[in-house]
Amino acid sequence: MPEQNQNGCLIVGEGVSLSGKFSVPDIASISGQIEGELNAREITVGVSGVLKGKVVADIIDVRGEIHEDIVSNKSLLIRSSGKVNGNISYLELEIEKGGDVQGVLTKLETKSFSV
Amino acid sequence: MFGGKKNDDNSLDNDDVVDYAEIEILEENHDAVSEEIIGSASQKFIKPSVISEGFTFNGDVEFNGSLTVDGSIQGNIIVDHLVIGVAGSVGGVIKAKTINVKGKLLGTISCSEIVVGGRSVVEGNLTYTSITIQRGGEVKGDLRRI
Repeated sequence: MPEQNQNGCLIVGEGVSLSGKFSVPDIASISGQIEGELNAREITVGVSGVLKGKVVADIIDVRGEIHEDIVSNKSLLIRSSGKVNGNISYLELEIEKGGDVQGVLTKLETKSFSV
Repeated sequence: MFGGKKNDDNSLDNDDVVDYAEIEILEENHDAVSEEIIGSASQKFIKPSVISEGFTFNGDVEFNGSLTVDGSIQGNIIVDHLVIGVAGSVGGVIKAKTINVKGKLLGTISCSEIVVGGRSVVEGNLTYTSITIQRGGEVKGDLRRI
């Protein structure tokens, strides 16, 4: 999806490594490495993707790894190859069998969705 | 003549005996196979124990079988397979090989496999080897994979 409409999207290919603070209005598709803060509407972490730092998004889909803080204001999906550790805040959570989750899970209080 | 006939009879009898023995062996094998399918741990306890809806139990439970909870149970619970129904709630220190939650599970939980259903709540310290959370399942607390 980010390949078709690139307005407001961030695509980090495999082998690319970035560090810093990123603010993405739409979709961030990560197959490389990012260190630092990442804010986006939707984050997709590919199998080879690694995120380190604070991650905030409405929708997060993890096939790779996320370390440290994760805030998902809508839905957090951890696939079977996904690895997540740190403080995790979510509104809706789904973990596929085989997904690796370590840390403290907190459910956010239901609030009006900003669709 | 007589001798020959006797021998024939004997051989027939022998055949019959052999047939019965074979059947018995087959039946034994069948039992063994069905027990294997159910699981080696529950060989002796094939029937699951059930805490029915409306039943509240406080105390310790330890047994090598399957426990289905539709009521409420509090205490130290050590079982092989724990199934918590939609209306069920379980609290305390729980150790199990597999846990299937459709209701509520609170406390210190350690298991090798846990499945958290879509409308269920799990709260507390959870140690697991494999976890599945269906969409909408609520998990609060500390998760640790071993």
